[in-house]
Amino acid sequence: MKATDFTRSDWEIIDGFTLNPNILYLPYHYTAMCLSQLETLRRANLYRARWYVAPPDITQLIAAYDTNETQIQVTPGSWLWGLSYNEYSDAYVILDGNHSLIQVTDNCTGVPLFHEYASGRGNTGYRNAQDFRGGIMPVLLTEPRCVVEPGLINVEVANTSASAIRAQLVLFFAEPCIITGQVRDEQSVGGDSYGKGIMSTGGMSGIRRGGK
Amino acid sequence: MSTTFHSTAFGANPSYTAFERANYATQCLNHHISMWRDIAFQGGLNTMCCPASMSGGEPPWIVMPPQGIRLQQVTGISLPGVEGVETPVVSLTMPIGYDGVITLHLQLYTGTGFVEFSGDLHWRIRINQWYVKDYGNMETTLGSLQTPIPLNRGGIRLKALQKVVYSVTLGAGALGNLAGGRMIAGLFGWRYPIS
Repeated sequence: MKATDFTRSDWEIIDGFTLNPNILYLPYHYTAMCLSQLETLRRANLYRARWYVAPPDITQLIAAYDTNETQIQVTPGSWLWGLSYNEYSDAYVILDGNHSLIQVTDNCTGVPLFHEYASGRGNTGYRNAQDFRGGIMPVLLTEPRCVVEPGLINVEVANTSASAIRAQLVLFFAEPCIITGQVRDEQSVGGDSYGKGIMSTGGMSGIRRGGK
Repeated sequence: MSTTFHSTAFGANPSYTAFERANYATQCLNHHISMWRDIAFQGGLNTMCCPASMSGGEPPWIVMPPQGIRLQQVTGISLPGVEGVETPVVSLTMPIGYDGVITLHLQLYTGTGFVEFSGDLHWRIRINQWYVKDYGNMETTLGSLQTPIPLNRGGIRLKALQKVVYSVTLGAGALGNLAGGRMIAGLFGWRYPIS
């Protein structure tokens, strides 16, 4: 049987979200609703996971009242679907994220992910005996965001406290795999990197590791 | 699942399963990407949706448009009596329906005993809860009442309902060094109606 023999309704999604028994299925909760919005991305082949961190150097201190600006380059055509944030003291003790603000902006469109700088506390999984506000990581976006050329993302992490902190924002992307033979077909057909070249030649191979 | 595979750069590895084409979900994503590429190629959403420019082609935060309203707030307060507390000197809130930009500022102390970069005074510009980069901890006098200083990198863009606070914090031991005078801060720029 080929994958194309299956109908859409027969095609169960098998991934970390379905295999993790710690994730409770609460149909009217934010996470469950976001997962439904991610269905197309979860079913797509020819994509692989790619996580980017900002700042790239966890040892880099963010001075008091300062903002760390990082620009990361992702593969054009990638999809941002989640994020996770952690804040640390200069001694690498994990903090609750109350002293930082984050902002992510697509450099191509200039559209920020958050309307205003978002509190780090709302995007971290930190919790302790007195504070259980830490959420399920990663924080899912209401729908995945595509990033087209030039594939530049500006990340700002602002420290609002009187002490230096360390921080790491992890952005969860699904990036397109370069299909073997795609370059040959693009040269012969003149198709673009996505869609047209694949569909017009019909003879390209998408490779996915693992199988069953 | 398909068990056929093509000879590729990965070799004839039975751990790989080959698909001949992108599945329907990938095609759906590719269509979406193509759409956004077309939008970017045509100049972006702003160009497509709001082609008319208000001031001769320059964005309104670069050149003040005819509908713009000048923004100028200069305030002086007496020397705070507490150290380590952020004391607002200038506060302004952008009105609904207006964006803006701050292009000039000034900060100075008219009393005695202040030494530049001594740590006695910490000036900060904050927008809501975000301390503007490079302006979150200034320890020196910048500009004057006659000549405010331009902001580095052109200006600070503001959005409707954002609150801007220009504050000063006395460092440890500052009250023993400073005497009299006023803490003066100023913000200059313009606001314009959101198009």
